[in-house]
Amino acid sequence: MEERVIEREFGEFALNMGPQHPSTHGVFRLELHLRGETVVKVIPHIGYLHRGVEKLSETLDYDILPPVYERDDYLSPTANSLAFVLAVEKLAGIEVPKRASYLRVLVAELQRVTSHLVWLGTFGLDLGGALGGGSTLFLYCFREREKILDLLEALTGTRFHTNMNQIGGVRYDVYASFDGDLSQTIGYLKKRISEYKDMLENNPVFLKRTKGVGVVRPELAKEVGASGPVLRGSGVAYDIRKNKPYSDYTEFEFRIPVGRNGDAYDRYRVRLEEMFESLSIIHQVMEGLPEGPIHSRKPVKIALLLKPPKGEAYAAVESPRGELGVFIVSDGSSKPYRVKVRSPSFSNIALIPYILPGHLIADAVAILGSLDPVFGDVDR
Amino acid sequence: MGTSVDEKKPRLGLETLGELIRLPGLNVFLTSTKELFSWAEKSSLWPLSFGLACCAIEMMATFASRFDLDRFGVIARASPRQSDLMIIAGTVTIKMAERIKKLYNQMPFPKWVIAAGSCAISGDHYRHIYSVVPGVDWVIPVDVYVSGCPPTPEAFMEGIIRLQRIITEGKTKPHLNTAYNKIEQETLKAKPQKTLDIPKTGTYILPGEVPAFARDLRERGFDFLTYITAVDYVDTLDVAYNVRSLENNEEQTWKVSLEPSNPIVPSITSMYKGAEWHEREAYDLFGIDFTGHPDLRRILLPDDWQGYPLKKSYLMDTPKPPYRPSRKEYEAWKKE
Repeated sequence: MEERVIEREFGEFALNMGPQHPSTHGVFRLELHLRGETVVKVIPHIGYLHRGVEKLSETLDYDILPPVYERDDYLSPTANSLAFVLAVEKLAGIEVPKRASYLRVLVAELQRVTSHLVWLGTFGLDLGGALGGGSTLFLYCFREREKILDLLEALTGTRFHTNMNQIGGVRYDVYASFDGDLSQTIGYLKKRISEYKDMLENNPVFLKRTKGVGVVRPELAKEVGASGPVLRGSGVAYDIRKNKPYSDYTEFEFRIPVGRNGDAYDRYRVRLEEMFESLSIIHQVMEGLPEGPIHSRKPVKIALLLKPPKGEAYAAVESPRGELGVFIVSDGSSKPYRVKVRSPSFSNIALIPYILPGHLIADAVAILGSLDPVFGDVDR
Repeated sequence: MGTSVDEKKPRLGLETLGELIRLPGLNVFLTSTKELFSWAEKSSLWPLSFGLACCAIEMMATFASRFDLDRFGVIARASPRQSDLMIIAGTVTIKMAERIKKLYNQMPFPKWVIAAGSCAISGDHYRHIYSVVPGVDWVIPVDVYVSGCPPTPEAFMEGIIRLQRIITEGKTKPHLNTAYNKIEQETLKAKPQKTLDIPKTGTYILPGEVPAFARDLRERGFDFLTYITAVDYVDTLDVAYNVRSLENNEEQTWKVSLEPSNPIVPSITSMYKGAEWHEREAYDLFGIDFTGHPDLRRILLPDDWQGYPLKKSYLMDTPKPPYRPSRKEYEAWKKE
């Protein structure tokens, strides 16, 4: 297999990129076939992080599983466990208290901001020297991300695998001075992210590297099943939070940012605008946080035996990368019979063979970065 | 450095070198050059920038603004030829183990390995999964283990300091497991499952009708492919499809029941481009043959894999030498 990595045939040059490469955002291998510096064909190879959570789920109890799912998409862990608990609650007919729903939204939106910040920082690294030595944006974004991680650590005890979502509610309630800490952080982040927006959108090199690069037509995006900022960057206003609302998202006011051309720049704009929208949702959550219990079942320290009735259920959430769905088949026992995770990154990077050919090899990195894949999510 | 220094042990900081310089005829003493070199080695550890999973995000955070590993002399390099430290941050799979070994062999001596996080140490909750190596020390020798899931940046820094101490003391004792050969063939088959009476709800159609059904939906505006997946009901192997019409916010699910011994269904890649990867995944994990698929081969598992892991007859902890030990070997190693 490795022998044909670098070969010459018919004037084409095959170049191997990854699985160890700083710009593949994880363990991903691209077989690039080049003519000169132009990509003519690309074969992606995935599966380097296939950890078999779907098989593992068949051997574990329902109540143990949410923390296991948080390791899937490690940039937005609560989105994974939220999709799972929503599916189980749908299956077993469990009601969730309103306060718990609000807290779920709070943590999910905080993590959407951290996820997009990591994306923005690593995208800066991908585009390299254009942005002030390359790592400037990376260092800035990770500095802002730490502010949110501090909040999450104070709230849940861990930095990003929060273990917040449980079947029937959430594990942790907000502490007394949380509101003050949060509004201070929101103010700080709004100021900083606006600064980066100005910094990037007035940078001719950044514009040149992203505008018109990696154009995804809306028809192609839909056919492949791309979702999230990739789909919205192509001009399709489809967001699970609006179109199939879950967890009381109907009660918050927010916009769905949409791009026009479907290029890397539009995907960047969509993510940047989403950060502001998320901060506004977080503000609304804290304004209208209802009183009441945070769990409809008893908060569990040890696993209770939850036995949903026989049947199947599908629940989806809008993760920072797109539609993250969980499909569960139950046989009436305390363990799922089959779990399928419909991961957004898997469908999003399936676009690569269609959009990369015709671009220069330097743009391959920019295009891959603009799709924002997380390989724990792709390979599961 | 902030660490307490034991008088009997060689000292860690710059003062070691200071003493050496003050001594006359410094270079003739073997022990002193050793100290000098180890001082240089520990002060400029260059790790290979190489992340696997969640732990890599914390590793990046450790390199970034607040924690700043640069002040330890730790600067990430993208090439193994320029690195002397490999931080395994994340779950090691069998597909990746070959590459990790190759990268490790490309690094020049002296070289060290830090296994960061419970997956790299022992596989954590994935340790009994068919595709996972239960700890990177089944692949390459490991010097320092950093615990956590994922380890916090403070733990990463502690790991670096511990490695620096090991280098100064010159007592590297890397750990490598090598006991793997025997596979008990009889354990490779899972117990036959009883047929369960799970209600099979939804729209069922015959396998032959799939292309016509999909084409009809495609023409009616259902142009978004959500997923294709399969469920092994032991007596049948069912494939579930879901497509959406984003304009009308409608969705349609349909299913196909297949014979488990000979699962064949026509491919819908000509209608939906996204079906290509989803069908490859169903082939990889369930062995379903999609006729008419342009490139039906394994997608998640290595090309030479035996069996279809998500079938109920497939044992979850199937060993795969040389990197994945059998459960017995793993338990024996744990007792050691």
